[in-house]
Amino acid sequence: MLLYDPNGAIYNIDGTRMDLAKEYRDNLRGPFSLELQRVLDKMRTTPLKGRLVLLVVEPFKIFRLARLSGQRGVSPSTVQDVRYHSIAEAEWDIFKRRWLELTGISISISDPN
Amino acid sequence: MISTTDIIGYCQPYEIAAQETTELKLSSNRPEKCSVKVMRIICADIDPNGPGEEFVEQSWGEIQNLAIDKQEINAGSYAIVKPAPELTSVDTINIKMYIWPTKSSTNCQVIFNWGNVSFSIGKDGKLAFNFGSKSIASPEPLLLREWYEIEGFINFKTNNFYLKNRMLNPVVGYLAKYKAIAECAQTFLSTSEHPIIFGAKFKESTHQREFTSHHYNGKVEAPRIFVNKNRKPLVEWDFSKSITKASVLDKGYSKFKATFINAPMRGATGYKWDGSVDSWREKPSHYGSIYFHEDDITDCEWQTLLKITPPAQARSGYYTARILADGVQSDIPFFITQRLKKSKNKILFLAPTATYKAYANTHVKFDSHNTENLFEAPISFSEDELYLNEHRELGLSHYDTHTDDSGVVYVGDRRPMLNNRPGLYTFNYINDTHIIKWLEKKNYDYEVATDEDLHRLGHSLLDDYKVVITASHPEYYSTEMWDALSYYQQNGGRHMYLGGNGFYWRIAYSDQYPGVIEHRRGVSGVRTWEGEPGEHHLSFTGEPGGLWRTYGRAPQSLVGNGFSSTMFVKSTYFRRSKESYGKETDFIFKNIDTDIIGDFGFRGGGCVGLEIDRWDQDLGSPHNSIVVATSENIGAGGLLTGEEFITTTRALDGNQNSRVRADMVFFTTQGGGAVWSTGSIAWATSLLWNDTKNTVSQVTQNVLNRFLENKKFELNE
Repeated sequence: MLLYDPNGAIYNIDGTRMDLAKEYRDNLRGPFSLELQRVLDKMRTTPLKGRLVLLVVEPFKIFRLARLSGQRGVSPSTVQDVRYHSIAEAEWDIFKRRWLELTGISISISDPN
Repeated sequence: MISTTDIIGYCQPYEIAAQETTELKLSSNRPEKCSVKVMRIICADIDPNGPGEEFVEQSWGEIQNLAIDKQEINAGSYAIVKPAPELTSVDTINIKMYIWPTKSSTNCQVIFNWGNVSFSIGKDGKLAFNFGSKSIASPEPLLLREWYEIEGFINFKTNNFYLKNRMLNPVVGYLAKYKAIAECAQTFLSTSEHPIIFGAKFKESTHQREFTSHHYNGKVEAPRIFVNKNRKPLVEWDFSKSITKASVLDKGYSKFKATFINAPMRGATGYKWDGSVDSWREKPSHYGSIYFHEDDITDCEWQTLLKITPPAQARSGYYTARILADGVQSDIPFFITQRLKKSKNKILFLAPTATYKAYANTHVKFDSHNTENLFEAPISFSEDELYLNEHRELGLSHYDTHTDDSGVVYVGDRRPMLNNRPGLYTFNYINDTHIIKWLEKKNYDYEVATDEDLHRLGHSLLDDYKVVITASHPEYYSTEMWDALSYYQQNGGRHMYLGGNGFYWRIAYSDQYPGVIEHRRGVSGVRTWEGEPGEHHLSFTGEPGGLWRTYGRAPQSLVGNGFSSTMFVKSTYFRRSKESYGKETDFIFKNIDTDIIGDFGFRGGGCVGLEIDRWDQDLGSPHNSIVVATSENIGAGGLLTGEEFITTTRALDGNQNSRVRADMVFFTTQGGGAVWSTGSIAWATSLLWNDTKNTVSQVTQNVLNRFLENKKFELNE
């Protein structure tokens, strides 16, 4: 039996690399530099428990930020009342939140226009 | 907000012909009344930026003010023996079996239950033998995934009972053997009126249904019941017998049938399995166990609220019984197939219902660690998906694992399937309706049949049709389905494959479990779980499961191309090949003045995307097959599937690996037939772009028009 290791993603993100944050902000869907790809791979394979996800409030229009429970049958818990009006808006905000959680450093560059 | 889950349900059967009856089964979480409208689905894609949803309301099947109520689901597999043996003049009873527990649980799990006698595993993981209000428990928790022989003995004369258990392969530091005896003064309630249950605790019988609780996760093997210290068992079952069946008779009298409910896994390795074989057909004695899961479900067994019988003139196709109530709109899908009458039309669309079942109610977005990495974007959840997570009793998909982390090998359609209907889960079902809408918009006369028809009827289903179209993702195929399609191809048939990652996994159907398919993941392919050692053979048929490719039938051998890569981020386009300008294939690109095909579409902006296939003669692409177009610019978003590389390498993406590509393939076959394969799921979802005024649509139309002509294709045309 081959199971996933929830802590299998061992890459360490350098939280000072604002150039990588800028690269992502300016091109959310890639292709990405190898370094940014590693950052994203890490962010996308964190443990299920607590992983940031989206809940559809109104299909194609409004999404709500939530965290997975990591437990079968237990619903995700919403994060405050953070709502988005596009997937792109959500992706950038989730990236910023994950950056802070994984590195302890806030992204200091501006949001996209 | 309109709810899609306050009323849920299913149609049984899922696939019917006109004038046959399907039974609508509904359960309500709130409304007490609803109305039902039957609609033919032209396009189930509700995205306002998509090709446009479209439904045709039918004049039949409508009903108002239908009273509805909540219906229960008794999830969890078990075996029931009813009636159980009659016991008279019994001084002692001795119950023995082998077990292989797989989960520690916060609930008590009952392994065996007969009246007031049971074996169970407590919340603390300790094995207990229970008689009435008395229990004896082992002092240590059982180790998971280890074999034990367990024995419970009751002496009614001396009023004592004992529990024995023994680890078959003792582990240093853990209790290898245990025996404890205690006093009891209970009345034995285990008469023939009480069923014997393996894998759960009997709760009650109502409306000819048994309800159970405290389901066990793990294997049971060779249960034997002895009385009065006789050496010969009163009754015993050998689960290595009748592995293809949904029941097994006892060994001695052949009259105490253990019937399997909700499909506990058969063909499961037992305590004797030593790795010398990997098929239950070779050494059945090594496959004497049966594997129970608390979340197995093959039939919700709901009461019927409405019978729907399409009239003779009803068109074949995708249908929904649309349920409307206060604040509720919920679609209950079913199919009307063309299988019963000879067709006047020349085109048959094969709805891949096996694939729909394989994905039905998938929970991978919740349970699978790698899902976000696979899709390379944050995961979002619809109301249907959140409901599925909270209601695991609706059953799992072939992509899910059970609560003990083992893979799901049986999936069925006698349950609500919330991701195979109009909604936000577009993969497979909704994408396929893009093809239906395209056929409608182009005014082709077509009919629809299903995978199950193909399996049951073989090539006779196809023989009358000039053209057979397979869908965007016909991934799961039984041997019968494969053989039927191959026969059709090689006897003058014309086959258009409008998808990717098709003909990939072998499955089986069984008359024993209507509506259910079986699949074993094996150890290769893109998988969300890995098959257990020794358990790669299908219990329904004994055939090897897993990838068709492993058994000499790579998809290339059927359709010219086969699965190479996933690419869920961005889609791309095809470039027409030089070879395509030959006289054999020039017709494909008639009226197209560019070599770039499909740099647009509703999934990722291109016609090459999601999952893609490549040509490879070494894997079976026919010698006369021609690659008429190949993808370009896939980039880093395309990732090679595991079976496409042998040694580890970093060069697995579309920037670095030439196998990360889609090849569009054409070849002619015996009897004037031909096969045209697009090799990309996103082909289907590009057909309707710009109201079908596009190159993907034009190419498809060129091929379909030529395929409809009587003029035979020459083998060397």
